[in-house]
Amino acid sequence: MGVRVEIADTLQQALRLLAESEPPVRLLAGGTDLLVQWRRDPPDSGTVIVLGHIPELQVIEARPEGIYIGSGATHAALRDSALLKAKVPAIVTAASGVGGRQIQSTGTIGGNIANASPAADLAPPLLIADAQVVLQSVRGERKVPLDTFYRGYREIDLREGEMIVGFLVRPLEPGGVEFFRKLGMRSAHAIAKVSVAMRLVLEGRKVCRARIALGSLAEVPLRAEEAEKWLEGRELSRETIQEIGERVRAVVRPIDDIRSTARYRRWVAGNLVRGFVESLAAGD
Amino acid sequence: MVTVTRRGYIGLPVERTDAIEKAQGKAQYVDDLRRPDMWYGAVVRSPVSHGFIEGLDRDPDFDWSRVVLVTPEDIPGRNVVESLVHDMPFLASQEVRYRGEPVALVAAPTREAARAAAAAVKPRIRAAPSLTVPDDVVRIYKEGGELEYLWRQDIRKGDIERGFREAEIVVEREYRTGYAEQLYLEPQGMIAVPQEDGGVLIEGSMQCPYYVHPELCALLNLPPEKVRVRQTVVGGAFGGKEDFPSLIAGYCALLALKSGRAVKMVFDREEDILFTTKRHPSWVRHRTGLTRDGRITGWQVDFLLIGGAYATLSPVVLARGIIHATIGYRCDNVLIEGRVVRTHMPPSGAFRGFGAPQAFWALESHVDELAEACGMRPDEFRLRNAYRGGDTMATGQKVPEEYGGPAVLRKALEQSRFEARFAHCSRGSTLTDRWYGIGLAYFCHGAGFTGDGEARIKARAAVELAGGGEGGPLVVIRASSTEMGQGAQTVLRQIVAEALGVPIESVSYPLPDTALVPDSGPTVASRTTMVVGAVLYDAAVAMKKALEGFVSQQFFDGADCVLEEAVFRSGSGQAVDFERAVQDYLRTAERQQRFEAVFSLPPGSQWDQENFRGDAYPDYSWACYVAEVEVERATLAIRPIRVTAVLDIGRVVNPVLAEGQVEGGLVQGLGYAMMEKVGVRDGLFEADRLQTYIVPGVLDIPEIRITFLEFPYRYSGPGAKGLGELPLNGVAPAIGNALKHAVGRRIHDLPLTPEKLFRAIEERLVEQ
Repeated sequence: MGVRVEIADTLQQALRLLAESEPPVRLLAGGTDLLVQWRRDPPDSGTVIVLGHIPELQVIEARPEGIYIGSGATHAALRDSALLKAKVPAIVTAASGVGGRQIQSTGTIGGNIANASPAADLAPPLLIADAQVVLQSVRGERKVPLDTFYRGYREIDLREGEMIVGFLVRPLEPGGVEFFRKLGMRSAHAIAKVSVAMRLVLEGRKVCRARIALGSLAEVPLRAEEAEKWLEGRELSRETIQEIGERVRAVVRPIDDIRSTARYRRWVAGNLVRGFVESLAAGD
Repeated sequence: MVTVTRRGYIGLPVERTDAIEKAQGKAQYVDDLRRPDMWYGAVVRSPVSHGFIEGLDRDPDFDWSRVVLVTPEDIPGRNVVESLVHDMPFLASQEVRYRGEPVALVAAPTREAARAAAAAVKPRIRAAPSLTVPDDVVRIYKEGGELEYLWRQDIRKGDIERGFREAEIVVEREYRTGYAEQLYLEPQGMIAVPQEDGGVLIEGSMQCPYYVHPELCALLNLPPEKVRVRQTVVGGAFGGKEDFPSLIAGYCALLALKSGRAVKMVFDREEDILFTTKRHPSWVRHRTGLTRDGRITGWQVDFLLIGGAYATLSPVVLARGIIHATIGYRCDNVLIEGRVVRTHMPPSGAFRGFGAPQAFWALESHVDELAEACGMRPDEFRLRNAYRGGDTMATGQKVPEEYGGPAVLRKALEQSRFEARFAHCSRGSTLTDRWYGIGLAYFCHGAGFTGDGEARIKARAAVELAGGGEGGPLVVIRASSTEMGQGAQTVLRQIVAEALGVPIESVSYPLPDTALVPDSGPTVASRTTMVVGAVLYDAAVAMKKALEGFVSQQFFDGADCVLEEAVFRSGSGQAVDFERAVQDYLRTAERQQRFEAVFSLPPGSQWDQENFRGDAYPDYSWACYVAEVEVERATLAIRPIRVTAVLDIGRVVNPVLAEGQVEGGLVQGLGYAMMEKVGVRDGLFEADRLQTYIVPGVLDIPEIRITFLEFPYRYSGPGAKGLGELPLNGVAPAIGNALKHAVGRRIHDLPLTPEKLFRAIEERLVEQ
């Protein structure tokens, strides 16, 4: 009995450890979720692989196929990245609102997604950037779109021996604008009771492409695809503004819990989406 | 802004005595302490909310060889907490009355082993029906259903029937508040060390060493001299460590005496939130008669508190609640009916404000509604109805000719430019995306114990001469008042230094130890600076007189002298240094070294405990808060932007610490007003950790402007009144009133969340 803690220095080493270590194997990145869980319910067997020292996992760079963000990039690194600020600004806004400074310095984007919470702050901005989850195991690499990676409440498409090594996201198109807003029970150190991310690509007053993603509004971080499709091709008219909020409210599946109520969440999600569209129309 | 009068050390922002050791992490809290051969204790708790114990099963597969188990049969003395109403056992022996109620104790060599052992003891309990949810209690009460009351108390003044006969308008409303957790930084913890003489030494985190002491004597069947209670550095308490430490000290002591070893018990955050006291949830109904021109003719208040499984401090929380229920406003005909309901939840207990925050949430929300009902502005209505000198309160207590109330009210209105800003409130206008509102609360806090409390306690405190030398103190304060982060150690030293005429560095104030200090009463009820400060001032004056007499004889051939700034000077200019005089004085052993004094109430104070008539408190501290809020229409997010606070706490002893108390109380009150909520599910508090029990962070704090106006307490040397609790009392109604004027709709129950606001104005919002 007892837990073996392995500190991996390279990605290859981490993958090998993941394949060969005494199960159950747990991957520890920033520890901001796991250490809290372990205080109540500490592991008593198997292996913990520490990922925080692997340089390959911390890369943030532009690649031909998109912007690549290593799973070990901390919220602080996301927050301070000029590349991300220019190309996927909603990620920067979301990362600046995670916990407080201490949590931002140690928590990672990979951990935020692997924790599989419907309230994950980084999920909506990744979803609107058509993020692909890059997964690796000793057997090879696999890419999965983030919106299918979530399979149900606290359930993700992560196979035995696999780890999230990074995310590929689509940089903001010309004419594109992003929005992110999170509501918590206080100004910082809060779990989202509602979060909304949007990316709209405009030609004049016409919406060419729309992405709307929502946190804490269903059992998984959700893309409002029907609302996106409805919005695409429309003018930013008074009618569009009136209707878009209702379209979003129609697709969410919020619940009552200790943080908020389903009715409030549904209403406010529509307002935030509508408010962003309205601000674009007004700014024109 | 702080404008206070300075008189030597009184009014001086002296640096906090305990600042450096705490900032540097050197302070030793109970969890930092180890004792030789020390074991750890854990509590075996009831798994059900209500039931009858049929036995305790021990898991046969568990290794019991290094575990000590204590059951009610092991208790050498009385298995009951003696405070006020004797209804709570240390360990339930027949009936369990809340989920988590202690039924047995274990100790083992490590914390983990103790917890495992506690989990391996399975109480066999025949479950019985239970009542746990505050909303259910209120529903049953309003339907006239059957409830068990832990305490009842009424206040009557004048003729209530007549009050309503004279009324032209009657306003009736209900106001509610929920459970709240003190959330001191340092959880509850104690160590018990068995002594060779069969006694026990208790060290730990507590507000009131002399509450713990008699409880342990009775529990352990030990004479007073065999129980010694020593306070360790306390990391916050807020009332949460008023009575509860007696329980945990009892548990450690029982385990220590049975095992023959030191035993430590420190709760983790979850255990602390789940099973220690909370603020009483309340339901208050005001029914008020008015004339059309805004005079209050009759006032009837139904005041209900949820007490939990045992009475503990509920009778006094209720007392403070009902006395403050209509306070501040003139009315000849008043009927206040107070009740504490028994439920199957942990006992509700003390929390900064002690019934007054519940009273003021109802009162100050209601007074705004009264103003509206007769078409007056909230400030106008309050100015018209505030007590004038010579008026009587609901208890019949006479209002002095000059008091701080009207002054703080006027000053706060003027500083906040209330009238002008009130005209600009949004009141739910559809023309703006950001609603603005301003609101006020006018409130007070009775300083010291309620009624005859101070007369019964007769707080004693002493100052003692010491040898000095090696930079050691020349004067030592002997009082049982505890430092818990509020600054008692600093301000009491200031008071003694001022009374004596010596530098503050000469005066030390060690943490209380019942073997060394007299009973100065508990550190509660905003009484320490006012009451114990007054006693120490008198004791120090007596010491000063004795020393001056001694120096006069010894050094000045009988010429009179005065001690000032650490020097005795005679009229003819001779001088002797304080340290030298003290050392000379102490050379002869029979000279009086210890000077003790006792507190007495103002002359002529009277109190009828049965009918709650008379002088409810020796004096009152008054305050007015004006809060300004903004509400984002799209999200209903509520942001307090500014609070203008004007307070009369009598003479301000240390303006920096006083401001700190106001800021701290304001922010704590902000949490109570806007965030903190503890639901009840399956007999347990639902928010049991910091992830779910949300308190304000630094970004949630509005601009705070503080002004003190000094109306000193006339019956003591220092002239201080109570400060500790006052700042929390009025926050929620000030915010609630501002919110009402921002959105045009009043919320009657705390906390004020966007979700609640949405439910209240949903129809209007959907139409927009």
